[in-house]
Amino acid sequence: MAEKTAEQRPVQAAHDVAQVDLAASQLSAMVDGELVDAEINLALRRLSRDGDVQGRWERYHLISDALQGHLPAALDAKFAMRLRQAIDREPVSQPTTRSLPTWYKPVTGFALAASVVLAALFGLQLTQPDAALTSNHSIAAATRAPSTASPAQTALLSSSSANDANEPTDARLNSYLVNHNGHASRNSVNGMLPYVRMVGYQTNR
Amino acid sequence: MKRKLLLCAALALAASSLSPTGWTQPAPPVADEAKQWLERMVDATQNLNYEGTFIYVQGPHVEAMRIVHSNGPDGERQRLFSLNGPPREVVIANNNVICLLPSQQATFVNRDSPRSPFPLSIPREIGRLESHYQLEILGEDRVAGLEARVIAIKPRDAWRFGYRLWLDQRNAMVLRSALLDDRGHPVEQLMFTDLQVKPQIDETAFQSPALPESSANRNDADAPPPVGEPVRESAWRVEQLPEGFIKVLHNRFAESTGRHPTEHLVFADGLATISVFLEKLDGAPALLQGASQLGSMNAFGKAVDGYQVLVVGEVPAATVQHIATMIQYDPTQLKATPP
Repeated sequence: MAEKTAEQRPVQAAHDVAQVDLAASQLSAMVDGELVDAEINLALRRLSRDGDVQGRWERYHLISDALQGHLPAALDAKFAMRLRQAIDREPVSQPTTRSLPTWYKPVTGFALAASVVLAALFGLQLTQPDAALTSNHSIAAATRAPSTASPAQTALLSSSSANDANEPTDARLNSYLVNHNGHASRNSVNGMLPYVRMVGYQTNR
Repeated sequence: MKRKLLLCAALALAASSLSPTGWTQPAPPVADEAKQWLERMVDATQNLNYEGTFIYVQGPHVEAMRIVHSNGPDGERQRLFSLNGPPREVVIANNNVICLLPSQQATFVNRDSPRSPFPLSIPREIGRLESHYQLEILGEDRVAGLEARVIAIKPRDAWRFGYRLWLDQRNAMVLRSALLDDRGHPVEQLMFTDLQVKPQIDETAFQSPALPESSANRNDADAPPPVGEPVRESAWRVEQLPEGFIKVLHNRFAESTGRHPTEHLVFADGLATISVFLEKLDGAPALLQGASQLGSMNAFGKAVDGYQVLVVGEVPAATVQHIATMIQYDPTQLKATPP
């Protein structure tokens, strides 16, 4: 909507009004929890940029809280500013999770933090994983050795050497594998096997 | 003239004799019987209460595992754990999948689907399976001291692996299973050495010493909210899927590390499952390029238009590679989205 009116340059003033109204109605909807995710992102981005919108956000929340009888004893008028500072300090946007016991690492889907599954699936064809991991020289040698090195071998070597330095890479590939098995068990006549594979991969290193 | 007539008669005869032996013939009774055994098997593995120990062989690796399964008023529950090597465990209860893996005692859960971890429309799945696998009864055998019926599931093409299943004569519970490659060599095998089907499973059998108390019974309130969401619009197209594989899921999920959301597509033919993962690389090196294998699982990775494409499945290497090469990125398929 707003993007379309933006094309009509001559009526800049009307456009600005429309833009503000849209932002305002979006904010209002967000305060009421009625925005879909994509719109929330957009509104949040506006909120973090625009001082006017921040002021509006505060007022809407105040209105909403007052209507629902949730007003605190004291009001913090600088909430939006502090929120923005807090957002700026965050390295990346993290999905919100509730606080949980330390043993419990909640992640989305079947993601997991261990590097074992990956090592199993993507390291199996390495004949000398230790040598390859400890020395760049042996990696080069191993890749060169068979003149007709299959893409599989070279890929494995490069992915394993990257694994050492890059733990998150492992975690991501792991999560893919485990995620796959979770769905495989749901869609196969032989639903027990995928879980068995999940357990079985671990010592194949 | 006479010769011509004769030829016509011969052709007519050939045509009429073709149909009884051709594809128009209904499935032979053996296939029907095998199908019934499979239906009973799915029912048994999901609904019986059982406890057992089995050996799992994959290439050069041998594992012993124990499984405890029940299906009662509280729904289906399963505990599966390793008996050798580092302790590993998967507990399924209350629509949760909780995995305990050795590295740093990592525990993770899945709650990305409101569906049960073991749903399955048996007639639908087996119906689908039949068009791409040939079902056969091979005979009888003995596994874990029990009389078993041996069923073969043979692929009709080279896109998938075959299976051989040993099912308990009494209840069709799977006692042994082997996944076979195109030459009929076993790639992965599972065989019970002891299996007890019981009216009820003792509660203590589900208690995992490795998992915190009652984690399997944790109610939904303190679990993290599901984040995987269905994808309605995607710039990705998979052309010319191997016949029989249909898309059963297309989700977008965010990694816990706050990375770009990953698209996850799942294709299934009723027996084999293939996952396609698509993740934006943002200039980072690709996670995997080329093929990789572990036992029955094959993977193929590729970088396409700045995205990592990863195809994983318990199918032959050529199948995952084919799918990886058939994936196309076409952002024009997307409607304009807000910046």
